[in-house]
Amino acid sequence: MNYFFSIQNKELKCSLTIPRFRNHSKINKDYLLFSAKIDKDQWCINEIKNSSCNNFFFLKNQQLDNFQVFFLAKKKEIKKKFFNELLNFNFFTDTMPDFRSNLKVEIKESGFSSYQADYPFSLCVKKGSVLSPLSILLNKHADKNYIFFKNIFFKPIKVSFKIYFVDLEKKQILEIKEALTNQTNEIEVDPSLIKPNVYIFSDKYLGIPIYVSIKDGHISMEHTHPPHLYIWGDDKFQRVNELKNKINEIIIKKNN
Amino acid sequence: MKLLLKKIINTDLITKIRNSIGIKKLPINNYLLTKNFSISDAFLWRTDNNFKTVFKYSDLLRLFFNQLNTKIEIHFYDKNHIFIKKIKNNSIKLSNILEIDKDLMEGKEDYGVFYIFHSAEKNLNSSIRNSCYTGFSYNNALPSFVHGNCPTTYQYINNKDETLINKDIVGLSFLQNKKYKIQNFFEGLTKLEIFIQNPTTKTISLRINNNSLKMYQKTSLIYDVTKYNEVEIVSNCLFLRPLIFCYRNNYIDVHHG
Repeated sequence: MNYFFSIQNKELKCSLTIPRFRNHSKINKDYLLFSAKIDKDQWCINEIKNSSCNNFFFLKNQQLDNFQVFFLAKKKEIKKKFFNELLNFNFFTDTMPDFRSNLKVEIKESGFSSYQADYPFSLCVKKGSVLSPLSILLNKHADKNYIFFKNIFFKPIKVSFKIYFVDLEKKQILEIKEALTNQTNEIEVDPSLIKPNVYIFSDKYLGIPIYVSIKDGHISMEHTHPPHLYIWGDDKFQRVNELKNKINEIIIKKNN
Repeated sequence: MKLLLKKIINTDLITKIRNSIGIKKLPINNYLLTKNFSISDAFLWRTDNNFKTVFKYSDLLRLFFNQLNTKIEIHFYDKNHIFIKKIKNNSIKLSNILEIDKDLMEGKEDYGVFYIFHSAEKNLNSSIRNSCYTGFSYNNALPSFVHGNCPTTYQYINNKDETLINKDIVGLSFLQNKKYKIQNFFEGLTKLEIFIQNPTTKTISLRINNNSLKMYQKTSLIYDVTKYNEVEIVSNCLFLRPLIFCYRNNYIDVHHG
């Protein structure tokens, strides 16, 4: 199943649209919209009422933040209010092509940009590291560049982890940012870091990096693919791990 | 035994039969492409209506296979899939940018697709799929970026004769019954377009909100759907996910459907 999430930022107004249908079939009104938020070391689940209209659930800026996650489930699948961990409640959002919501950010009377904002459950239960190129989706000539690094971890914990800005060519760490699990982490990126050889690398926790550039009121928002998607073959994870191990060596060297 | 069975059920012929009769359909068949191929998504270029396209791509062979001095070729086609030109780059960096405007496209103010192929001297134990990023700049404004969408075409990674292999990655069904409803509600827009490419080497039939169309092999289409809040595509192609161009006056939002 997929969880869905949002972004909260002082200059961007955000909205989230979640379909009530799979991309190949009709509306299924048995599936309701729920939110999950950490409350006293547990996941607190609430049904979000009065947000649907015909085929969609609509969530507005004031209903969204960097901490809640959303999912579709039948009422009978949510038998209690508090959970010790996030679960794979159902398979409704397991589709090919991917089931997607629409997260839109906009600046009043100016630009807007959308992204699918789906976070597969399989990603919630793993630890690891994310490697993603910086200059591909950011623009050093933009007025502002952000990375919104979303982590959803199945345990209701807030743990700090590091996001490194690494120059792969020079084998140097250029910048280190702190992030937290179970939130959308906002990182404003200095234009001097936006270079072809610079990648971000998250240490110990996975997530989805979403890149936002803003210039003259126009916005571009998109995520990068996980690296293994670029390789077809039996050794794809080995290849990606070899690359990540090289970066780990750079980090260890820096820390020593 | 299990491997042999897997090998048999994923052969071209069996896959075609599975897709035709709708049993265990395989929208994207990469089973036979796992060694020594450079696979490319079909990327849209557009230079019509004051658009420019920016393509950002990585040197995948250097990044994942430590190969130096790698090369790429980018093959451009118009919307009817007529070949326009080929660009070669023998000195690519880890991350690269190509700006596609009407001058690069031989003066054409139109649209079409392009493919990128990486080539290496040494054989690999895998294949690479380029699914990098295209940005669309409207009236010279900040480009709106989207990632690659659908693997479509491939050639050998150490290709000497530089020919594309004319076999399909995306499957077809016998019936025009594959529905794809875009999971978004469109409102408050001044214009809404969808871009579709037929990723196969066969003619496909499709309906966009009940408007019937045919698309010949590998051709592409930008279709105006401004009057609709919801968009549904029904076709005999098993993977036909469009790119969406939302306009609000001079501002655009390009994303995958």
